[in-house]
Amino acid sequence: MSSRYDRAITVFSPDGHLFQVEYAQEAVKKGSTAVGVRGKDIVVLGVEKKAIAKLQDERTVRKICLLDDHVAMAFAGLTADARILINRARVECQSHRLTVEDPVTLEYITRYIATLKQRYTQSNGRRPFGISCLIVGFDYDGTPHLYQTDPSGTHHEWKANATGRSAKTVREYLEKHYTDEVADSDAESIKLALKALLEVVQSGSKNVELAVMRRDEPLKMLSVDEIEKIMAEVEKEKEEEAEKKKKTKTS
Amino acid sequence: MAAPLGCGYGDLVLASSRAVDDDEEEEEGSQNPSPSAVLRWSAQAKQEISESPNDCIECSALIVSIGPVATGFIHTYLLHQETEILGMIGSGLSEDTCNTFQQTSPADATCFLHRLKSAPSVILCQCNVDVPPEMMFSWTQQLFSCINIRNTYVGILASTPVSEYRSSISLSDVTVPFLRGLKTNQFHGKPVCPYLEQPNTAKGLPASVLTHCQVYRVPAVLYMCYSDSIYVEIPAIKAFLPVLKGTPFRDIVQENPHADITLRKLVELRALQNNLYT
Repeated sequence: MSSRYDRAITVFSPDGHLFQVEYAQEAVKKGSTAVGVRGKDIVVLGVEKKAIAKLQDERTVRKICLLDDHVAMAFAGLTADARILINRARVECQSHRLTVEDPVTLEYITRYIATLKQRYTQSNGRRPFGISCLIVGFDYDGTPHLYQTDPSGTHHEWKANATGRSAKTVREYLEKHYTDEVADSDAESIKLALKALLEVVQSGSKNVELAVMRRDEPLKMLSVDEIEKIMAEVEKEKEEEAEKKKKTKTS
Repeated sequence: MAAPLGCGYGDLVLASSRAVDDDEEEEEGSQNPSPSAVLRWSAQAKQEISESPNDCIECSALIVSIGPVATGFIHTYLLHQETEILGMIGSGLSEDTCNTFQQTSPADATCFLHRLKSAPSVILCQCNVDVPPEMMFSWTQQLFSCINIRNTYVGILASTPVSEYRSSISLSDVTVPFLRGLKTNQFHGKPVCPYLEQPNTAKGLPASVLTHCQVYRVPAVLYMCYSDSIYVEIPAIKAFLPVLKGTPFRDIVQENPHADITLRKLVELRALQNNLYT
């Protein structure tokens, strides 16, 4: 039945599905995992790095990008669609600055991206964008935000979320381990993002990219050494927990 | 910005007209008779066949893997032992078909017959070629042409997208990837996974080989892996692992301590060409 109603984006199926939008959401799952965590004074983005060919320049395969000095985005899905959306969002950020003399709020730019995505689900001849975005940053008044948009054009604010391949597993991990105490500490927020990502990433710290943004500071991509340091801490904590469990079992 | 009609139409197809005289020579040259598959034996195998009493290679177990996921599995878990290449099945003479014994990269579109040196009666057919439908029958005939299948167990491994799987259960309640099995009447054991439920059918080359076994009363089992990625991924390859406990695999499998490394290399080999999704 679905095949009769999934050719044209503008056609509803009898049971109310827009199949092209749902298929676009499947395209998102083909991209590697991206995770976002909102702390009290920090926002963290973590992504699973794609393996690149030997002759390929690493800098051209970026999953985390800046939309403005205070807004960063990670995405999962079709690379080319992401590039188009990022360019439009960047122009909108600057246009907003020039027009109203204020930097965009996270809610504004997320709504802009979401509106753009929705428009492509309602015109003929065009397919939806096959990407899901995690948008993080700080508003002018200093509040941190994390938003997620999906191909249908919906957007929601989150305390922590994941998108892309195995997003469900990562989200479940975040639900179990995100607490207000974690959010209060910068270091714990970063660790949470890394641990959540390591649940699904296939091999180690070389395949993970982390970016953090603190209030009134630019986006900072963590170096491989810094990530390895955090990984070592995570491993140590795991071992200590295992030791504790052993001791309580024997005593 | 003019957009084409969004209904999937809009492709212009130029029809050839019988009223106009096309260049006849060109037409004759381009219309080859529909080709059939050809099985080429290595020099050593040819000698063996000529020396054998019934012009056949002795075979107690034939493993046929079709597609990158299945061949990746066999490559990792069975072909890490010492093997020799017995032959290859070529399906066509277009520019990109491989017709030599030299191209042994696991990501190339080749179809080789391997034999385990530790178990010379086990033949493994690694088919990475997209065999076109019109050649499937001849491919199957060629495969069984010089192999003595009187006492052979046949195992067939293949994979297919989960979007082709029809079930009353919603797909979000099923853990993908998963295995389903089919067997011939002569195969008296049970597959290591559930049977393929109706109305699903096995299609293409795996079905052709299984049907041949059913018709010629050969015990054969087909394991189909349903995966949700069109690319080769480690979970899809590992979904075949339970198969190693069943006939005819369990007697020939040897532990591969480097399995994970091999798998990762295999996946990277193919993944590096994929730039569509990030």
